[in-house]
Amino acid sequence: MDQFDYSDITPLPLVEPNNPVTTILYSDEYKNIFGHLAALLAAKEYSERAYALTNAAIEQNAAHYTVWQYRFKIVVALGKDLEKELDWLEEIALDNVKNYQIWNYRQLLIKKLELKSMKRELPLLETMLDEDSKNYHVWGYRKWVVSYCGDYSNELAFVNKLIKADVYNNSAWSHRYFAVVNLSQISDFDFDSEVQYVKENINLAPNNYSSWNYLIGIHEYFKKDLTDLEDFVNTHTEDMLDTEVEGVISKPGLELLVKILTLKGEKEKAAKGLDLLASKYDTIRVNYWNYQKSLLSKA
Amino acid sequence: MSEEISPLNTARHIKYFKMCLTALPSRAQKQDSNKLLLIYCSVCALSLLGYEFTAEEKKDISAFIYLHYVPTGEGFRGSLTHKLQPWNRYDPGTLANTYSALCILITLGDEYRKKLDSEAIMKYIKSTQIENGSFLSILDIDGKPFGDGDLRQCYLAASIRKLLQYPANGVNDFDVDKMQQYIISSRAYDGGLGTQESHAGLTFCGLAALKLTNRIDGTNWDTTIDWLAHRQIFYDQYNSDLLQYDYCDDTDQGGHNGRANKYADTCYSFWCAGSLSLLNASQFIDRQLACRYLLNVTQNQIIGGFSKTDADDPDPYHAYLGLAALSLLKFEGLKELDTMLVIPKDASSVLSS
Repeated sequence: MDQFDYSDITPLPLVEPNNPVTTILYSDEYKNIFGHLAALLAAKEYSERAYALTNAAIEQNAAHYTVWQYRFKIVVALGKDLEKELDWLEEIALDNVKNYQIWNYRQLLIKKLELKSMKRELPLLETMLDEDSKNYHVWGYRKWVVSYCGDYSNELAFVNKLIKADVYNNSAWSHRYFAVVNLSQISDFDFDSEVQYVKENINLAPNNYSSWNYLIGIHEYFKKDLTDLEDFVNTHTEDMLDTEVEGVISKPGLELLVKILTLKGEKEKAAKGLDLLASKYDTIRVNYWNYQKSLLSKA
Repeated sequence: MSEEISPLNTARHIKYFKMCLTALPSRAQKQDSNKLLLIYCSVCALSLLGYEFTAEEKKDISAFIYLHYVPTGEGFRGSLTHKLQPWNRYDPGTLANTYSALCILITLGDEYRKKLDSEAIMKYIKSTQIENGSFLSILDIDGKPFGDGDLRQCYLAASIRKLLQYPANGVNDFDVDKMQQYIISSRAYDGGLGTQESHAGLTFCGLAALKLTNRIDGTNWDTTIDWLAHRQIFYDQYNSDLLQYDYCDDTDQGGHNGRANKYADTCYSFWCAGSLSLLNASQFIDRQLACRYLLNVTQNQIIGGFSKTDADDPDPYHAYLGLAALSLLKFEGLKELDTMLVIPKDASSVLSS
């Protein structure tokens, strides 16, 4: 705020009523910044000093719901360099990783720039996801920008890297699904090698619901038969219906076995699997497995 | 697990929420723009705990809330720091704060429907609805929808409509069909709802928005129930390999996560229990273990409230949702909850279904 003269502005005072509720003990700096901001907003002033003030306001409270549209209006009115604005926003993003508004603002800038290349965005997305590989906002933005640019070509290599670093990362599996579904619409998609890839990753972590759910998900999407997976599932659940196991098993594997047996009409075996889940291997969900068993007898 | 469950420290929680209604330290500045949300959590928490507001308190709190009503009558601002003089659209009502205001007023027994301009509010909500059927959080200076939009905003819009008892044939009703389509299309391959990856908070928002508009029936939710049932965290000898993973912690036993392979968090106990309750599937939660997690792990025994995880300080949002979850889990000593609106049920009994 020091670079500009605000002396002609009377900041709107923050007057608490007589019996205030949930009084936030605002710092003097906060009161000063938002008092001036309110005065400028009321006057709809689009100026360099207003631009500087939005920066100070966002640093204090990035969740402020009007400062972002105000800043955008100023950027457009003053013909600001949008690339520089994107650079500035990167700094803000790195300081406010759980914020919604930042990514919405970034979309506005990208649309205004009519940027149709992923190149500008890839390093930022990579840095942000390095910091927090499950950040919902960042993944959402990645999905948006990929769709907006219509460029899915980087996505598989990217998620391969993330899954290699952390096979349990459900965000990466979910993004993989998004990438695969879209890629399959624009080019030939090798379903079998995709399935092979998932199986190898399941073998690394048999209790990982993320990879199992993905495996089932792509079977459903590409209308493939889940029973094709029976041999693979058996490598994880071998003899479990006959011989009880102590120690680590594959819970999602056993669940899929039950699904396959149900599809094949082998109700007795499926019921045995559900009994084992209810009484031994996943007792916290006993009611759920018993309910599934009750459906079995109705089917 | 035979560990005894700690009691609900009602007196401490009441003290905690009364403190939240009095003052918050300057670090709460980051939440200034949604201050009404903090007040909503505190007021509803106190009511769930059985606290009786005095006539004086009711008067003061509701008078304070009405100071946030914008002059066009379209909704509520989040904080008085947003108030502009002269007023223009840079001081808009927001869906989140309008929802919070209505929840506070109904919980205090205020006759807000006689005082507010329902048509103006609904016209505003309708104007924030976008092409895909969801809603954005505000109207901008030009009167166009602006901000982030997703299942949360659908939930808020549907709740406001319900709290105003707005009729389905009203001229300012929003497009419920389109909202329904948006929500149903947001179901992911594993059964949860989300703007991308399945997310328990967004799943609740989507399901509750459908239930509030009588649109939840007619869709098969089996995969959603399956996904929700799996959110309750359980480690035993059969999956002890997971405990090597950074995001798996054995103190999380019985808690819920919001996405697969993540830590438990108090708020997800609510989002999951709430979602299952909306689907008439509450029996798929292990109540004992779920209560244990909340009361033994995230309940703060010193200052009251609940924190996000065992490693955080309490905050009004997690503290309220912790209590809301316990209420849904039928833990003794709490009032019943209106799952759809996330307010005490006795408060919403004035509304027709």
